[in-house]
Amino acid sequence: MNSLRLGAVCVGLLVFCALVSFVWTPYPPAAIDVPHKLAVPSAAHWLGADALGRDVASELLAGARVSLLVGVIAVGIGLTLGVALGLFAASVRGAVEDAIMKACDFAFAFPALLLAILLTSTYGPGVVNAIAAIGVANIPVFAKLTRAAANAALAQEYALAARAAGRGPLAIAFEHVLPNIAAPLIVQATIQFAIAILAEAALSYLGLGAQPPLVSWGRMLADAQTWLWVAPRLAVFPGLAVAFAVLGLNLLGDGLRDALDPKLRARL
Amino acid sequence: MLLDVQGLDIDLAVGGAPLRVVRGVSFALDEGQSLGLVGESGSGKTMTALAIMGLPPDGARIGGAIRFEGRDIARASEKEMQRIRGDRIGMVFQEPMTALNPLQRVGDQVAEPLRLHRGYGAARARAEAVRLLERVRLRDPDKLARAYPFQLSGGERQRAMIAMALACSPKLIIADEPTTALDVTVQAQILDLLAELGAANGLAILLVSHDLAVIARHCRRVMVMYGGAVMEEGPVEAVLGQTLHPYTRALLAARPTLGAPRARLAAIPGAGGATAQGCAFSNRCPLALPACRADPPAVTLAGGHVVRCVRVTSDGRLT
Amino acid sequence: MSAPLLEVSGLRKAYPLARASWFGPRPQRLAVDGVDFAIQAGRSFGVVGESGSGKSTLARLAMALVKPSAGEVRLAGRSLFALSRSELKSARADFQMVFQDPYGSLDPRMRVERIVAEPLPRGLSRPEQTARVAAVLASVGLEADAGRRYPHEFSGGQRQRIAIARALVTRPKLVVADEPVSALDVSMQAQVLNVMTDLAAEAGVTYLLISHDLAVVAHVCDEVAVMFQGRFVETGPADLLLTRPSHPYTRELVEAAPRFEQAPLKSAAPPPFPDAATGCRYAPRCPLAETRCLAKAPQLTVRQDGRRVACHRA
Repeated sequence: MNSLRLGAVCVGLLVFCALVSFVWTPYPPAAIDVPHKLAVPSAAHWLGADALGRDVASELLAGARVSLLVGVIAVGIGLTLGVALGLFAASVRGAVEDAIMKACDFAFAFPALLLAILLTSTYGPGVVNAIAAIGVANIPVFAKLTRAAANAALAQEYALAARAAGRGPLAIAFEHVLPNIAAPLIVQATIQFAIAILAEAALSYLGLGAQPPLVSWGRMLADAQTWLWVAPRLAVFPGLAVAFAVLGLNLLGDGLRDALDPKLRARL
Repeated sequence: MLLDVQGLDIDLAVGGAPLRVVRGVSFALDEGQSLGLVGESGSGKTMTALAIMGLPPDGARIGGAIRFEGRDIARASEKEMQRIRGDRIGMVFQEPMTALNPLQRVGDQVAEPLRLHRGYGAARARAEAVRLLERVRLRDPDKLARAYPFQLSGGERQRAMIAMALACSPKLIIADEPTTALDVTVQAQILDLLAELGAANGLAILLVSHDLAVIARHCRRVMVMYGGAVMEEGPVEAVLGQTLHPYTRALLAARPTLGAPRARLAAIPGAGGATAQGCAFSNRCPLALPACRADPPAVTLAGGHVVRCVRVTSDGRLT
Repeated sequence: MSAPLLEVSGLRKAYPLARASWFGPRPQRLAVDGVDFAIQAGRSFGVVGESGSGKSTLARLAMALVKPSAGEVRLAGRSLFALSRSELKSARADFQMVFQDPYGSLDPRMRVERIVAEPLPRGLSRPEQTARVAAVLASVGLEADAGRRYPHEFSGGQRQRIAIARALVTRPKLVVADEPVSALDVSMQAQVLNVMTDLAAEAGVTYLLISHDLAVVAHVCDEVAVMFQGRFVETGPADLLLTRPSHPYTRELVEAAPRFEQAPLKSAAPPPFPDAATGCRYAPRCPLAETRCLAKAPQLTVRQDGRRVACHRA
């Protein structure tokens, strides 16, 4: 099975779990059930229960929701604002382009985590601020990628032909450049999606992401820390979930790159 | 015989069914001789040249024999071919900008075959490289040797490529569209240079081009290819003076020449694509007959002029 | 004589080069160094030169895609660089361009119909657009359903015909063609050249054809200018120039043009001043160069037969 199909299956499974969790989970995800705390996996609790008796399987399913939400919105922010910035830079060129790219380089110097800590310490912890932080951190990534790809596209003769036909820079950017640079952007988006999930997990682990009663894999990891010697499975399951999601997205990205690129370069 | 190609067939695996891109090509080239392979894109001329160099695309199946210096190299191993390439066979490609490594100085690249095949040390190879650059009439060969490819003009780069091809004094030079990317004035200079060096060193030259005029100017013999098969071959004067094959005629008529009346050019009707059965040109030939569905007979005329057309009589007339 | 279709005067374009030292002046490269010419409607004009002669820059200047350092381009009397953005946009319907690379000049992600329709004014209705595109595709010999396909489904020659269709869809008065057939095989060249000459005859298209290939230019154009290092060295009627060239560079080009004869392995007389750095730009390559050629660069002067030549010896 090639990367594309495998990746698509993994991501599809993820989406499926997230959707299903809205309708049904074995137990209500945040339902505390202290008598059954630290239950081993059994017919009643498929993957066991955590220190407060919450069903691990249910939490995993619900956690998928948060991961996907974070991924979609954060990458969405990065894509829309980053691509717009990159297209703008490539279209105007000169000092403005340099200034924008230097600003992106500067932004790279700040890890998303630091930005998240800054935001949450100012505005309070929560998944919304986590998404905002990760989203903003995505912007320079897409801006730089878009600018480089857009410059290559603008150097092509069809861009010059469009100018000769009387099209303005906005029309050229959206009708000619964007469709031709979509492939590397899509691939990068899947990579950033995976990074966003990891980032959210890290933030939640630090207590800055999803707050209870919202379930997140990262928070599960954080909670599992105290019980690591007694019940390591409490860390293994959410860890595997994160790994599975990241792997699936990376495979999807690889597969998409292979599927999209050669077609673009196809010539008779 | 330096190079002897017998019944060369090349099949490419294209989406399942094998596609025969070269069929039944045979020719011989001896030292000091020059042969031009001419045809449109898709005629199989480049594929033939690549096969001789041992560089067919992945998945290509080669039938027939390619004998170089007595040995069959069609099925030689990659290691054997690496020993031959650059040493016994020199190659000049179409795009000097992409054929030369943009990150390496020109002198080092020209010296590379010497270090690889002749075991020269760095200093000796560099000195020889400068001498080679001078032989290809480059001005300031020392300065050029230390320059990078992007600092040279197209013509200079192509000369450097020729220097590289000549480094180990090969017996055969294969030039694939060496001047297509160059201006007309530079084209003439480069081709004259190749011919001159060939004559001076007794080299065999195999020149591949889509332009019959280029071949006519610089080769003694010509082979016209279409759809992977040879349509007409022979000494240039004979083939051009007494053009018989409908495809060769079409090629001649299609080219605008200086001084010719400003009439419509005779474009070849239809678009590319060879007929699988019989004569490759029959689907576009204005003179096609039902008999063309079978392989056309090879009619041999005076002076080694061979035409493969059912309409050509043995006394050299096109019916 | 009626007003010329395109009139170029004193055109100059300089590109800055990398500085030699940090505080020295920025050296300039004069791609186009003082070019004047006029194209009459119906008489196609060709510019011949080698790479580096500035002919492509000249094409882009004529198309107002690049701003000149000096000089003026007038199309049907209007100075293009004096127009406002919107005026220039609407004026573009009158002059269009065909580019050299048939693989790069068509957006690979767009269908042919959209590509060809691009120069049309935005206000045109969809059915009207479709009709115009179909008509122009037919005029270059492509079937109507070609519009629904993508560029990569066509051969180089067909793509170049699509490019010509795009250039013609607004029914322009002038078409600037920059090396339109250089990237094509001989047989495809013939197709495209036929299309161009047919359109000149039937639809009254006037070309400004840029090429390094004399035979191509001679085939399509009535007037020819020979360009060398940013300047015209000879201009005049095509037949005259190419059968009886005056300027030594024109002669060099004519002799280098591929012909169906064996090239005589003659050695032309070597240029006497290969290191000349002053005076006539062509002197380092000119077999007829004399000391007065090094002293003063010759200007384009009108000769008896109507052509203009920039040479002391011609």
